[in-house]
Amino acid sequence: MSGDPPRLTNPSVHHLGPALVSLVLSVVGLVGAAGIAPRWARAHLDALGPANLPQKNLGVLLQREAALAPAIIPLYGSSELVRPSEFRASEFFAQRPDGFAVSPVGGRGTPLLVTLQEIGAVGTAFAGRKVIVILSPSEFLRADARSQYAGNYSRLQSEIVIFGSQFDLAFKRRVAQRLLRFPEVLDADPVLRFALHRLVDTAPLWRAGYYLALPFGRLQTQVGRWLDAVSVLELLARQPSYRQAVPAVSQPLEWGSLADSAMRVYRPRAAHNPAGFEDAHWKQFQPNYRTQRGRTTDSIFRSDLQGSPLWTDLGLLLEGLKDLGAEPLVLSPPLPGQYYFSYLGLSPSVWQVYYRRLRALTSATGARLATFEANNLDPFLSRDPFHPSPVCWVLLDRTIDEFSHDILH
Amino acid sequence: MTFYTDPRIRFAARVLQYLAIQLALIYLSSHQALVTPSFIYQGF
Repeated sequence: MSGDPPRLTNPSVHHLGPALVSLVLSVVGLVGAAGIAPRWARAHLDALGPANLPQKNLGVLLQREAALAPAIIPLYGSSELVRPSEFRASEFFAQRPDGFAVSPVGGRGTPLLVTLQEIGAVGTAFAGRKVIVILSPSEFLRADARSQYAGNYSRLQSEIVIFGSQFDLAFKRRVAQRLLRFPEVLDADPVLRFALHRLVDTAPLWRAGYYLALPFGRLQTQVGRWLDAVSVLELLARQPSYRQAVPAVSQPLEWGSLADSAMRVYRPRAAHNPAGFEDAHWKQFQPNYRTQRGRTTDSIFRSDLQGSPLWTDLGLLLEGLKDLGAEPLVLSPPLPGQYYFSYLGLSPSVWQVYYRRLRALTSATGARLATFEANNLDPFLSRDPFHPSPVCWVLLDRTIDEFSHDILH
Repeated sequence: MTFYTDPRIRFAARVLQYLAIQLALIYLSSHQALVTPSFIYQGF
């Protein structure tokens, strides 16, 4: 009949064409986004650089742009970078008072194994560039924390490290051994899991297995990079504050008077507890610290420090930075000495295990190191065992400033 | 030939339909991978 619609002989064929066209359009859109996003990010680095952003911690694009920017120093760490504090480096240098800003990367509990992947994923953009890694000495007393790793893990960064070409296979094999300690995050990524297992395999065909996974891994990585670009464009489109210029405000940095003001700000908040921590923190966690006091001995402490899995991760991180040609500074903030030595009664010599290994690792890889050992017994430097106080941030800021101007002794 | 039976219109409508689905998937995947980690660490 002439009025009837034409019969569909094979309905699936009628969907195939539109599906293919829309797929091509999506890929073209993603390639376009990947082309535009770095330029847009570069144009707004004044605001994006000093910000703490999940897109920065979990992606690569913003980190890479910060690493390439001449007036930005990437600062890798963990919760000290996101916990609000007066004189925190990202805010302190945000208006480039001495010609540069700091780009923080890291979140609550970011372990060194994740920092290794963050930096490794940025890769050769670090060649000839300054980069700072801030450690939490007290973290070396904790065992591998699965929740810390899972809460900071980035599939994209992990894939780039394993499937990218910035590291050789021998290095990737050592990284894979550590990554496989946390198999739970690999459930959604069978290609990466397969490649990691091949890398640690001792069977003769491990290399063939890895190279079999490589094209699939690279395809996944490319899709991840596209999604990274989309997330950055979306951030810039939705948050006008990141599109506003941040004018540089040049000012002389009088470190003595800055330290005095930090002390004036912080001392009243920390003067009423025996550990020198922030009073509010002490009030909340006092029972835990009391328990610690009875249990911790020098030998337990020393063996925890020696056996920490973080030494492996720090070693890999520093070797990776050396391979990438970066110019790293490792910042190890002063210890909460009042807590460890006066309150817990530990001998200061137990920490020599930590400093000896730190010095050995950094000197073997050519990294700069600032340990502030002379400040370990100074009061008011720690808000708790893991976080620097505003007074301590002034010390760290000064070291960052000296490092940026190549005058760090 | 009506609007619905014009094969070009039907083709374009399906392209848009698939495109909308793909864009939603791209948005959701990008958020899941790069904005909201699958697990939020609540400790120190």
